[in-house]
Amino acid sequence: MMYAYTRTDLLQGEPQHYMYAAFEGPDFLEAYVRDRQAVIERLRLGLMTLEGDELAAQLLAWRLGRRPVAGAGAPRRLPQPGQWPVRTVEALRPAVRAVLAGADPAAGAIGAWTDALLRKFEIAKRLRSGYGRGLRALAMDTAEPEAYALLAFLIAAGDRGAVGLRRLNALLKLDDLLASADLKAAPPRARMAALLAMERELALVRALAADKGVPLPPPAETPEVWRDAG
Amino acid sequence: MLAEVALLGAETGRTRAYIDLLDRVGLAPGRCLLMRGGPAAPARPAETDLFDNLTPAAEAARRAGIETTELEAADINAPEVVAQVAALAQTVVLFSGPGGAIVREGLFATRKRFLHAHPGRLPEFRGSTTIYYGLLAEERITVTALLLAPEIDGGPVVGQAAFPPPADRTSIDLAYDPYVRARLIADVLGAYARTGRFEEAAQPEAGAETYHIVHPVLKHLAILAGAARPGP
Repeated sequence: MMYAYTRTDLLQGEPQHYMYAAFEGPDFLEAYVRDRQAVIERLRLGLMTLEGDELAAQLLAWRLGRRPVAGAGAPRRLPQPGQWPVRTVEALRPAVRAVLAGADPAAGAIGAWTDALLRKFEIAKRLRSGYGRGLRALAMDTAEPEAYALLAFLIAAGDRGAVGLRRLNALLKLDDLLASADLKAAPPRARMAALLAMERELALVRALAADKGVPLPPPAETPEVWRDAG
Repeated sequence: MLAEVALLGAETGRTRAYIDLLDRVGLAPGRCLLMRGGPAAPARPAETDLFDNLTPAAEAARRAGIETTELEAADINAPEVVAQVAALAQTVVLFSGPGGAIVREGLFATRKRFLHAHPGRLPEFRGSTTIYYGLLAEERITVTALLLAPEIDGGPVVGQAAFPPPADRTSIDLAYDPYVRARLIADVLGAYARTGRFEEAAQPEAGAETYHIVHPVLKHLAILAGAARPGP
């Protein structure tokens, strides 16, 4: 069985709305895990060099357990969602830097941006390239893949404790979109954020499945260079 | 028969469950408006022991002696539907629209009270496909009856009941969800028939959470969790 939700490019093509998904049995979960593991492997291989992308390097350091990341720096003050017009990635990048520097992903403007964009994405299955006052889209376009990846990272980073089903649901959909899209041209920080989000998503799904007594295929072995320092 | 209540429904399992279970307890609505259009799933008739899920709703309604009007509209908020609702003699309308349909301003402007059964505990589980979120979070299914308000799933609560998950969780969409909703609606309308009023409780905003359509991975976990546990 193939995992159907990443078969077509959900970013360039039609979005997936997940209406009335049919039950396909345990094979479906196996197909999902194998699909995600393949995408994770592909992303890791593409991130052997970070091309001098500072945010990608900081994300990698955070991933390897050096938290808060030295050099992530104090972020500039984030506007509240809808306070004034902003490009989506320009709201998300400082939010990600703040989290890497130790800020609580669920608190203040970071949490407000994450929740607001999560809702936007859940409703339209799209993020727009910019949002104005009242969080109205500046154009009915689609944001670059980096915006989806940074949002996925913020959701994943905010769910390090108990599984929040609402956030995990959005994370699964964001990661479907990222897994389906061609990210080769995306900057390393986008691919790194996508990788971290998918790794975390898979861990959250595994924890939930274990809690429910639902078997999943065993985790793939993590290459030495990607193992946590801690 | 409960003459002072009307039903506004589409050809779905939920509508068929409402008609069958309410008729069995003598609470069939006095009037029925049935939409022919709308999305197909989860409207597909599927045999179940829980209620008559095979007889088309219009036929079941007429068999139960309910005055029934069939509408061509696919949109619950279409002017044709709004006009028919406005013309109803009943002030209470049991809502059983197509899956995902949201009552908009035009229907609220009729000043009818729309009674709805939501498959989630309110205000904690507002939104879509909450039956699966409830299963994952609590291993049970809670249904809340409410009077609809412009804020989605935010109207006053008039009844609530918890149900065990079905032994076969693959039956949820087509049979168990409509059945548990109909069970609660029968209780709520039974009380309404006795007292002539609903016992309304405003929803607190504290703890309110809105969910969006469940991802297939979470849906599969909710269903397969049943296979890992003994049924009721």
